Amino acid sequence: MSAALAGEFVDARLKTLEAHLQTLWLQAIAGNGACYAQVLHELSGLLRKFVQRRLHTSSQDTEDVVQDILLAIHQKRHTYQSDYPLTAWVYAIARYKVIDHLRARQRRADTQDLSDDESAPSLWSQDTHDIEDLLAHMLSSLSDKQRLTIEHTKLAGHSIAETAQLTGQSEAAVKANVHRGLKALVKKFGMHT
Amino acid sequence: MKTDALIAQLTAEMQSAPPRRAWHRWAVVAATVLFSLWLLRTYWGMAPNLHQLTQVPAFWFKLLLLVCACVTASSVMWRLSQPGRPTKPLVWQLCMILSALVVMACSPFVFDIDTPRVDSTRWALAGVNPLHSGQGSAWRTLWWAGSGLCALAMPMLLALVWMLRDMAATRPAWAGASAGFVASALSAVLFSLHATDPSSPFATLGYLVGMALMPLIGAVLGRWLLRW
Repeated sequence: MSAALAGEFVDARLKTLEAHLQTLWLQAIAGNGACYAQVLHELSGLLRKFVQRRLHTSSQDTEDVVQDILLAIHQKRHTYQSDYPLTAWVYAIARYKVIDHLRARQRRADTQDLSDDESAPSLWSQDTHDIEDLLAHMLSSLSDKQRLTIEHTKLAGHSIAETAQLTGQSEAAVKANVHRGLKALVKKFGMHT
Repeated sequence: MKTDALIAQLTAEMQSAPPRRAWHRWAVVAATVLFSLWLLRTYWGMAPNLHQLTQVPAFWFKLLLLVCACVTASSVMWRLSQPGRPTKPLVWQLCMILSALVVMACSPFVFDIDTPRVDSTRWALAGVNPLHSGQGSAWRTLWWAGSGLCALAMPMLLALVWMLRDMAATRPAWAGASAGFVASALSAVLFSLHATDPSSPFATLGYLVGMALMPLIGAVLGRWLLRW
């Protein structure tokens, strides 16, 4: 009962908001500069909330998107006709711009990943003089236990039993650490097969 | 930049610039339709028995259906080009008209004018006489009709996309596809003035293939050109 009442209340408020904004907008489009500034100002408040709910980013980022949307509203203002709700028009533009922004962000993140890969030393690059350096660099990213077991079994050529003796781990732990270490290396440096 | 400063700047810009009207874009679209009509006259030729055709109800029915398709598709396109306008009911209408087109194209409507033939099945969309089609030329006819329709529709599609660039389609690919459909329907209307008797069922099929192809081209163009 109370939920229905609240729903009606929200509905009524939205309707008055729509009516208010549309009246302002139509006056603004007819050439009233003060109305235009006011309607853009009120819309920017609504848009800020809209964008914040969808992006979850810094306030500067949000503000950038809000300004983007305001600019789009301004540039495309001739596409609104008064026979349908202004808020529907505004939010459709906002949604379009937010999606645009998310795509751009994704693209930026992707290229950043790529450049990260390039900054890491590459097995295939000409200027890698010493392969040991590279290996040491890669192994240094592991925990001591994993690094030691891999060094013993894969580089020094010890058996699992010998490694277990040398490092003081059980054989099962050695096997597990080698396996985990190699997996971690592949995840960090490896080609995905 | 502060948002309030941006608003002040936009307000100043709004007051200095008069509201825009896009009549010239409509004029260009109309001009390309006329251009396509001229292309049809020059390169394909009008049907020699056009005045006889106008006596046949099926001709008018076909034309009416195509014009309906045109009008509905344009209104879908128009709605897609304005942010926040619902398009769903019209899309259903469009689907109905499309299926009517397909049914009509595949049904043996009587299209006889003065020479009743017992052995010929008459196809309505293009107005067809299967006696003309040899088995070997079938694919060529299909290709010829389809590409002809596309060629005639292409200038109109470009003009429509150019017009839509001024609008604000929030679903660019769909807006482009609807523009493609408008162009192909217009092109089919024009072709109905040309293709009356000397063509084959495969030509009808070709027109349908052409009409299916244009929205695809339009969608690709839209994705590329209608972003803003």
